[in-house]
Amino acid sequence: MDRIIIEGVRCFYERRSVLLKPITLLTGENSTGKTTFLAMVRLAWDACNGRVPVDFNEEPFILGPYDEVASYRGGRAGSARTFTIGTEIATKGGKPGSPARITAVFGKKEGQPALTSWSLVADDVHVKVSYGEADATPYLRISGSSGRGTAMRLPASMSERPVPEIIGMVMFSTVGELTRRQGLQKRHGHPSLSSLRDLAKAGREMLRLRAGFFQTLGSRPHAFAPIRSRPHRTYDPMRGIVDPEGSHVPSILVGLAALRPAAWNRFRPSLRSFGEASGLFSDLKVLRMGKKESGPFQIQVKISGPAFNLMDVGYGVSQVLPIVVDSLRGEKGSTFLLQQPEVHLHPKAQAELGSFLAFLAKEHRKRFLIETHSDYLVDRIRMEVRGGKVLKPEDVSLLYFERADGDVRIHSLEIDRMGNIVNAPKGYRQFFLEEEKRLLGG
Amino acid sequence: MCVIIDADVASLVFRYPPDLDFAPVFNWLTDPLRNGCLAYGGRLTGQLRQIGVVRRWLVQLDRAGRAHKSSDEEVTDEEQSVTPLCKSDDPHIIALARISGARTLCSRDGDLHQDFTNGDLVATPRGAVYQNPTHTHLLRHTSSCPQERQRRRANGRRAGSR
Repeated sequence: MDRIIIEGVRCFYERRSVLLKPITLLTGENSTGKTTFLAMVRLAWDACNGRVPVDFNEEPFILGPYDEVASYRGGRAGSARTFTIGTEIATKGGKPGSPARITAVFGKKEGQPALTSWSLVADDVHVKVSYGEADATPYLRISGSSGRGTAMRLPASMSERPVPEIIGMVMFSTVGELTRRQGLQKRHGHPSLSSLRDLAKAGREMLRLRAGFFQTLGSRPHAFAPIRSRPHRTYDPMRGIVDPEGSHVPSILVGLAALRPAAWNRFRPSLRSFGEASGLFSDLKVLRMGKKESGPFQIQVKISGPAFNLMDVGYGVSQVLPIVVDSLRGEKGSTFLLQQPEVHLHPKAQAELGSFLAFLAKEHRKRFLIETHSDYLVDRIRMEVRGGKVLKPEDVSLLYFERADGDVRIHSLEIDRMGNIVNAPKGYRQFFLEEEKRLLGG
Repeated sequence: MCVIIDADVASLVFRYPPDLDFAPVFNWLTDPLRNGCLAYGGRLTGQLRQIGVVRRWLVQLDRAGRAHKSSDEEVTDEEQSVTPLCKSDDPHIIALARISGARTLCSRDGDLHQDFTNGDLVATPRGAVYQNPTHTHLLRHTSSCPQERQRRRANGRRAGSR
């Protein structure tokens, strides 16, 4: 996803269209919509995939019912009647400079957000699926470059199908229908053939786009919770179901260390490298409490001298471990949504986490959206640009969320090749400048 | 234009309260309604860092996007080429102005004033020296500095999108 589009969601009354980079840093005061923005990124991915129903209350983003998600202006205006979540993606095989744009519009149904329309605009094709208010029957409209289009009501049974699947099914049947009608026209002539041809052309284009689209889209963004699970002295091996708090991580570690030693030996140096640079640990070990695979185990952390149980070392280790392990293990091109990854970390470790994420963004083509209050992490990312070896200015975006007139503005700050912030808005970090004056006797 | 603050007056600008002569410079750099910006880089960086209070402000202004660092290598290379032309013993300041685009200097060094306002050394536009509040009009951005180029680019984009 190259760009996120939001309108009518919580504090984002007006339409916001925000560019995403390999490293996108979200900064600003509390309650300025940073976490909501992260939630929208995952929901935009869901919307791209046409997930029905879209879940607005999946950990770690519990957004609540419709009235909590839609912007509320107060007074007679009340809540927005609909809200929009969308994305733009430069698809493989698409026209250069002309990304595909998908937008999903949600309305209120039984108090919850419900998809009312889904549209895709790409190259010369415009596809829109609308859902009836009463029975959610999908209504499909497809138009091509000529502007001519075809609309059709689909069976109600399709309302639970993912939108791209609906489009795919309609396209295949349309092409089949076209073939049949072409045969008919040869014998009798058919008045709607031209529009059907247009539709089929759009359909073939759609299918091509769809293939490129899903290659580009990648896997679903992985979201970390702002507080990760607390450490335990002993763990039982469980199925490693990924959860935002990272409670699956110990099982992943024992799975690697005990059952896949070759993979563990490939993985462990990266883990140690981060641990040493950050000062958090020099090594991690998994200590099994028996010979059975299903037996309990402990995570041991070596800092200097003997190893200690994960529970007996600083809390920062267990807090950052899920981020480090999941980020390393994620496949190339994955997107990670991080909320305050710096919690419980010493500034040295905060800064080193910045370098670690920059390295993964560069070498593993992973994408990180990082909500942070850490100057050290932001500074380090800027320094990785200044060095020029790891990141380029175009790899980093610094989003500054600012409350203004009851709305929230998102300023996209640019970083030059020296790591300087070149377009800071007036008032940016004013608190810090004032605080410095106070501290120095002002 | 961005401002360059020579090490000889830096502590007067950044001490609290600032020296009366340099208070407008400090206010311009820290006032939320204004867009002041400090240029630094090359040998000047080390000189400024040695002054504790200046070091603190340098970090804060840098994080706020109100201090722009120029490449040390580029400034050093430029310094070597301008040294024979300079009267003062601060060719690194002249080099920084040429690399960064900053055209206002805060300094009390007479020889450096001559170099900085010498059109053969600092041009398009020519450099100017701030010494006291009567020079407050010099605290603004001109076409040579990155702030102004950025602003013009942004305006161009906005005009294009209309």
